Amino acid sequence: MNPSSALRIDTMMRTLQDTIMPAIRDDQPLAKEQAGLMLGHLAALQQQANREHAVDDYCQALLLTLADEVLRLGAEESSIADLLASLDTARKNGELIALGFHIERILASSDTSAVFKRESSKVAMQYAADHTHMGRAWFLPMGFDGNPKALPTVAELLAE
Amino acid sequence: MSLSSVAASFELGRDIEPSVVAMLQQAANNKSQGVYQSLSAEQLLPMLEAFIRAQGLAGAEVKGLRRMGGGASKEQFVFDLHSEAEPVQRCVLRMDPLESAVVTDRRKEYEVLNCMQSVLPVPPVLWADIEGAELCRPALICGFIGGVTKPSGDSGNVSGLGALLPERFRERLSVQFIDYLVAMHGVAVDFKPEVFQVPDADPQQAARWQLNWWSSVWRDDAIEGSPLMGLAERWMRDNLPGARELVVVHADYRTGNYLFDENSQEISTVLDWELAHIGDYHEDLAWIICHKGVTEDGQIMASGLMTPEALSERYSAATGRIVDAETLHFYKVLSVYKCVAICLATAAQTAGRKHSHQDVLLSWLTAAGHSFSAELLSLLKEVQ
Repeated sequence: MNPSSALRIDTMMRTLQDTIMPAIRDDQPLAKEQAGLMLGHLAALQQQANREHAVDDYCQALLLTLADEVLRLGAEESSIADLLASLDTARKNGELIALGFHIERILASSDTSAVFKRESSKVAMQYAADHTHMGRAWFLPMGFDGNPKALPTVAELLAE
Repeated sequence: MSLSSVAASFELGRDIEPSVVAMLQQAANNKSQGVYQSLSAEQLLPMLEAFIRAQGLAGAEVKGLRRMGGGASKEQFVFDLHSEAEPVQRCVLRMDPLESAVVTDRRKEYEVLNCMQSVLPVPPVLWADIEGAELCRPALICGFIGGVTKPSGDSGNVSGLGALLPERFRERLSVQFIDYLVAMHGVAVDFKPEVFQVPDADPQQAARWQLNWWSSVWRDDAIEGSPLMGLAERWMRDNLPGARELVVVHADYRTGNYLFDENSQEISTVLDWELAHIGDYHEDLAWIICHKGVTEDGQIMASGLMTPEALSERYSAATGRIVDAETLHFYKVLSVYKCVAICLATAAQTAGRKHSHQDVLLSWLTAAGHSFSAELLSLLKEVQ
């Protein structure tokens, strides 16, 4: 649709940079800093354009795979039976927010067998590796990542 | 949206520092409030003058009151204080917004700053409005100390994250940095018992209190569940270290939280004591290491100053304390766990509720949580 989001973001960045920021007085450092952050957010949004739904879908698929693995590995774990039942219900109902919290609680429980701890660590770490890769790649424009060259791009991750 | 509010549904008998529980409960109460509106300098001025006069400073006048930049958590104003009897003093007012990236308590900050006045350079603490009865929000007034957190012209990142100081600054600042760490860790842990409690019921209590504090923060503020955070919590519960010696832990001691003079390279003050508590000395060492800068040739520099090995060696040499590798690793995991909780949970929730004057910074900082998550994963892989 005209005007595109890209054009609107681009014009907002230009007016911030050329008009608004130079007009902020030097004795207003917080306003200057926050205007700079707005510019940074807009630049990041510009680079992320049109991919947010695809990234959400990618992360949800990772979480569903992990849920299945945790349900399989935990089948014999009586101490977390209630949590597993809640996870199973959330999985069947497609309640993704609840799913994430249930998996976290199951993995946080110390009262499980050594075998479950070892095996659940493996699958959770694989999930976390994939998920943090995407998180870092997605937010690379924010400049927090210490080793950006080692990261695949969002497009590469989505194509996997 | 968490499944339940841990702070609000706190279970009696759970092992966590009692004054921290009170702090988290107050924070839980604040969550339901409406949008936070900052006071302007013009609105604040009469309240500030009345407050200072009520402290007994005759003829107190506040001049040049204006906002300061920087900081993700507190609203900060600078002003010149005139009075009948005292020379003009430049001061800083630090006020709590409704919420911020971390929940803290002005009473703790006030007590520990007072205690440290004679030990190392800290801002002189003048007055506190602990409950916010006079200044609308809890607040602390300190003397102003000049200096920079990074050399001019060094863009760095917000809040000192990922800071690497230029090589010409590192050695001189490192020496002072260690000296002040050793000095604060040498202070007796006998504070007012209602302000700081001592985790000495058993050797693991110091670690357990911290884990229970930060896992409560995470569970209370998490927007989505994190399998990685669950895994980290389980590993920490299974590997609580015993404390060899309890010290005053600053808990946010790193480059970015001290000021120095660019020309003399002298540290002029150590800032941001709001997370201070009694705990294991490894906690500060791990926090310093986890706030790292990386040189062009890939060398990790703890807090952008020195290698992690040099930090441990110098600390041991100065204190005679053993830096235990397993204990240090536990506190590195805890440090990064805290960073994930602060970024992905509390900062995002606070910004979402419009409860801070720095919502735009907090939503920016949230993104850093993914890099911290990668670091947490890396630390857990080392011990699996």
